[in-house]
Amino acid sequence: MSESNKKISLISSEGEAFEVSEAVAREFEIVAHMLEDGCSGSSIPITTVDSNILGKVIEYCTKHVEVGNVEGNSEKAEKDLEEFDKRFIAVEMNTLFSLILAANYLNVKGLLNIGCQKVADTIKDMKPEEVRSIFNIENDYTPAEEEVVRKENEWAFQP
Amino acid sequence: MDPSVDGVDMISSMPPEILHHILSFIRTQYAIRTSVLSRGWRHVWCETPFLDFDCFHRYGIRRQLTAQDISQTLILYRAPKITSCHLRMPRNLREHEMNSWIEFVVSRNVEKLSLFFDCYPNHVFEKIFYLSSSLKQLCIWHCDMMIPGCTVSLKSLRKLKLWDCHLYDESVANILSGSPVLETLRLDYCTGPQRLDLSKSPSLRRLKILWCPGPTEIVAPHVHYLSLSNSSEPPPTLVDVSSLTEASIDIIDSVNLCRLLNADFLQTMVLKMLAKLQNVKRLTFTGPILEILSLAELHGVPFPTFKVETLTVETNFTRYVIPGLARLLQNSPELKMLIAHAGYQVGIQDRDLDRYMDSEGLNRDECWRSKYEVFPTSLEFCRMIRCKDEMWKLMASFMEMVIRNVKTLETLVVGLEYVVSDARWFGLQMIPTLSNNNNVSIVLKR
Repeated sequence: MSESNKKISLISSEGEAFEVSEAVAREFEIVAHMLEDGCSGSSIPITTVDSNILGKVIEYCTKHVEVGNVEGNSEKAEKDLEEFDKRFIAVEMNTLFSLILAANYLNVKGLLNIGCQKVADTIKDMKPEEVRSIFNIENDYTPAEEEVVRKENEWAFQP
Repeated sequence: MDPSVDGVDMISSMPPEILHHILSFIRTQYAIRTSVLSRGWRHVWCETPFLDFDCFHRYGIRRQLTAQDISQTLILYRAPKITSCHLRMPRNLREHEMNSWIEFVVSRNVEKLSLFFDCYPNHVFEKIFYLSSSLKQLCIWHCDMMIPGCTVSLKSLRKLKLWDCHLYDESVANILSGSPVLETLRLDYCTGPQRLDLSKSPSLRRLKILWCPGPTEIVAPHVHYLSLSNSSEPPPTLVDVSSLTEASIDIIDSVNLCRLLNADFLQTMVLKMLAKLQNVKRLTFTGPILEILSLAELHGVPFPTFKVETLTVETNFTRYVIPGLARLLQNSPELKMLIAHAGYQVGIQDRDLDRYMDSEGLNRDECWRSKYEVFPTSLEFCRMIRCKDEMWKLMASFMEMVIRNVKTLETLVVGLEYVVSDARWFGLQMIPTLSNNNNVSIVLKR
């Protein structure tokens, strides 16, 4: 029991400490690896992630650990978790990308997946012009170049 | 939020593996469209290790993919390694086109491959397909000619799923013996093989068979998990399943049930199957297995003893299931958890069961009066669901019956979520009264 009650401090890029249970910290695969490699310190610096994003990633992992610990009511729990994920990832674009980068760095696979899925869903049904404007992508093709690229795989641009 | 990042193109500065991950969630057609976003995006799609060509659109009718679309795309495709490829063959293809694509993805060390041959059930794979050393997961839909013309060598294959394929015994044996690390085999809606022999697949731990007419015999001495669903008529003979620790059985095709009932055939079949499941620790029964066991019990047929620790049943709590369940509980001296989900069974009709009992000279009134009178018929059960008080009484009788028939049970879970929309009031009233005098903790799922 004492193992699972152990607390670990995750330190954001601003130096702010977030105290979490070891189970939650282990959801960060990068942290799990550190712990397995015998890095037994109780505070772990996460230098590339700021407080705002780190707080959110911890919120995500805490929820998933909580639900994972409940026995025997899988279907409803799964539905609740899906709902939670949906609400959790409904954020504006910059936050979304910061979450994806953090999930990638910390190796939180579930979060990386829902983040990337969210971006993919946005891209999927949009015209290139719309995608550019949503993500602030500057079109540096000349019109002629763009036409060449478009022609290369013409079929893909048909509805 | 932060004004300093407003207007910044964050997506284009993502590392390539994240961009590839994003594009892995969409079809290749949409991934390709990103090539015109900017110069930086030109080649992102063609280095993405995921390919997804599906000619069927979920929403509305759109232009169908052609062979040329796929061939053209593969010419520009650069990823040296393909993590996942999903390919649904469009119409009007020639055999060599399909084979050249398959050869392409195999040569790029594809790991996860799903192939749909909707219009081409007679497709014949070339040798190279059966010799892939990178393939870890393979799904094949609609292929009746999986007949390798060579000795198969799929060294990395861990999961194999075949859907609506016709399978031959020798070909399956060849594929299995060439897949030394295969862990999971799933057959859905397949015909054949007659005899599924997994004795030479020591890594094969999970076997799932769904709606397959055949196999009639299963030899699976290494399998730990077996799931059989409405598999065939008659259910397959489990020749050797000696390593099983978990099994989920939903075996009887209800359409053919009445016809079979008269022959006592099902009782023998089901009991024979149960005898093979004696050592299983986690057992799940759905479908009218409990009804059949009840008939066997009323007939006085001897039951085997089980080592099951967790038993899950989906049942409708009628008098036709209770005798079988009670016997199952009595014969499970190591049972720790019983999970009983209330469900609407459309298995055997009461009147067919009645007719069978009559024809066997079983006096129904006598059978029920002794112990099972408090339990309803199917029709009464459907009515009870709407009446809280009656449902309350039934649940109490059910729990009492369970507790009477068990010694080691620690937890009883009763799931009412499929039949009762608001069952919150249950727990408050009855758990305290029932929990007295025994060590079983009762959980109501609602």
